[in-house]
Amino acid sequence: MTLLDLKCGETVKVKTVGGGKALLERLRGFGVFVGRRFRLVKCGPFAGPLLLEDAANGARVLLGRGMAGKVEVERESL
Amino acid sequence: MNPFEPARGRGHELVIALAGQPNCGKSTIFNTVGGFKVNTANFAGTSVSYAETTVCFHGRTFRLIDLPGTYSISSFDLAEKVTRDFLLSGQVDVIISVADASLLSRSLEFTLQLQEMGVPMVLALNMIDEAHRKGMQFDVERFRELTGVAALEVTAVQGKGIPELFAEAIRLAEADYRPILPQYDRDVEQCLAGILGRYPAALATPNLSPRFVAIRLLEMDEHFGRLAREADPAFADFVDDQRRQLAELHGWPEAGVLASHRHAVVLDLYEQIATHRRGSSEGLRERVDAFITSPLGGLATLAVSLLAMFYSAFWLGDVISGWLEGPFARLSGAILALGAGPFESILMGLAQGVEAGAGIILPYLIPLLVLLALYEDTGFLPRLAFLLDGLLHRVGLHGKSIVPLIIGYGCNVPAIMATRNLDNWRDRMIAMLAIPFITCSARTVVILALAGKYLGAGWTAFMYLLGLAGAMLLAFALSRTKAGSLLGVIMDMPPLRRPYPGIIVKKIWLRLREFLVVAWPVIAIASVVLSVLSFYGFDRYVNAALAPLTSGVMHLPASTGIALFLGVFRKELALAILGTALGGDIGAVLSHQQILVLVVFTTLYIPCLATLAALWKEGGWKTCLASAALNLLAALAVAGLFARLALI
Repeated sequence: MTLLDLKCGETVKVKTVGGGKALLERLRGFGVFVGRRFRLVKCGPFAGPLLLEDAANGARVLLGRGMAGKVEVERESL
Repeated sequence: MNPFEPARGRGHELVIALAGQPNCGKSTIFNTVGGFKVNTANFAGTSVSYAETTVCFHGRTFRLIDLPGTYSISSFDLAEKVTRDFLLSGQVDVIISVADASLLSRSLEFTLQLQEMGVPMVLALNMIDEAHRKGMQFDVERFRELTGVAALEVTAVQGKGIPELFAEAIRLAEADYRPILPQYDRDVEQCLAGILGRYPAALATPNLSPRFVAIRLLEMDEHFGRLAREADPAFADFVDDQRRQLAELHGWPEAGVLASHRHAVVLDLYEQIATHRRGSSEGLRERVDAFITSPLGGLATLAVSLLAMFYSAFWLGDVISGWLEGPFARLSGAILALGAGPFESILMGLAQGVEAGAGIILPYLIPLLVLLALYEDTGFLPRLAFLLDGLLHRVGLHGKSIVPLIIGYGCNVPAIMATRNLDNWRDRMIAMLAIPFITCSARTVVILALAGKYLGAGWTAFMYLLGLAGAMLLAFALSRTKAGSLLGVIMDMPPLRRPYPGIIVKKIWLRLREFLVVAWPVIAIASVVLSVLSFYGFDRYVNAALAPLTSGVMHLPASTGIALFLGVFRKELALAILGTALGGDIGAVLSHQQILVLVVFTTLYIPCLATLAALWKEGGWKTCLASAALNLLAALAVAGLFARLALI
């Protein structure tokens, strides 16, 4: 599953980040990389961007659907 | 008392650079020290080029450079490249690495990259008040032991900790005290040692250590990669091989292998210096945020704040014109009594120009600037971006374009500069051509003073939507003709912040001063010129030349020609001159339909001279001409249509 498959309020862990080197570094700058946990706060209207919250520090980042689709995530087993 | 004084003269000065991730408060620190010179706001990407000031502090003179925010040393867009180029140029004596303390675990990644350069460095833990509120505490002594970098707690918006920060920065620079270079785990260090063992002499760079360059090479830095290949292809192959092995060893993608190691170092460092306790409740802030980021709540916030601005503009307009009416009536009476001659027409033009600036423009400008400052400092704008991105995406605008577009509502010139934050030329081009349709504060003043005063709130809102629709349509058309990858937006959503009255007042003053010292004199001079020209009957030629457009296409009196022509210089000028040009009160001379046509035309037509110059500089003369032509044609088409429809 990717970030696009999340439901509001769900927390997941980033498994892999697809795309090229540029996208990888871009996302890393915003704290989105392998092993980080994010919660989907809400989605923008009209198939808008995802508002994600970094579970570790509470930082919020706005992520467009194009990029979100390249981030593979997994639900954590409790 | 402010211990920082502007310095006179230039000698051998220390160079201090402020560097950090976007929206961590570099410009706020810069403004605290150098006087309010650059605009600040609670969203990423406010500064796109570097600002510089020379300051004297405790008898020591230094140059302070405010660099645009960047997420890493690897550069992506034009604004970030400015930062990278400057830092790598070797001019910097000491770096103040500015971090948002409440996001320190993330900011430290960039701080560590800076540390690798080996330049003396101080870490400013900015917004420490916010971090404390969240229950975070930092052990700055421990941080210094581990990194050799002094960390100081700062609240830049209140100026707290700033003198101590600069005292420490200057002390370190003078002692040439260099930070401890970060050490990675054994595999990485072995890999680095291998690379340094074969480091070709041809790759030696004057300001940068081989270790720094080797790290950049492991990070697949394009610039240094190219240099390495030029210097010694066998060495470049060796580096590629080493990196591949390192990546395989750890099962990480090649491009991210060093960054992952750095992250591990940062986590370890952060664990040692930070402690978390339960913070104070953020319940209210959360609820307000949830309301604003809901479609209805966001729309309501926008509508209510715009209405408040609208009505305070009229209230202020009444107050100011109440003060001015008497004195100016007596003044023009006295001038008329002098008789009619060229000198009297100069005086009359001057009086009318000064009155127009104070009575017509200021009342609309001030509430607008207040609102804009509040939008910027609270963090409302990124929330608007969140709500609108879905729609913008459909018309082909890159989500990141929303920041320049929103800046455009203040003034188109910085908006066009802000397109430097966009990653590729196609997106920049579309944004640059769309921005001139956005109703800037000068045009808002015209809209409020004409549509607001004579046609009502409905038509005023319509003008705003008209400009937005123009921008959207154009973006839609352009995005169809030029294909591009629309990966979409990625931006920080800063927390809602309380605006500081002191900073709001300074921000408003920064923009108001521009009106007072640049625009108002221009209006007064233009008014004098027009008054003299019409005394000799010269304005007839301009009006006659423009008559096919004014009376032909738009059914307006030909005498509006000169006002619209001057409006190209500054949009407020069209309004200020209109009364003089028409020879009477606008409402009495023009019908409501004519006012509507006039406002429609002014909203859309040729961007002002400053905007054209910015377009030329950022996009070349073709972009500049295309923009002028597009806007003029759109304005004539819509205004011509409105002149032929019975709408009012």
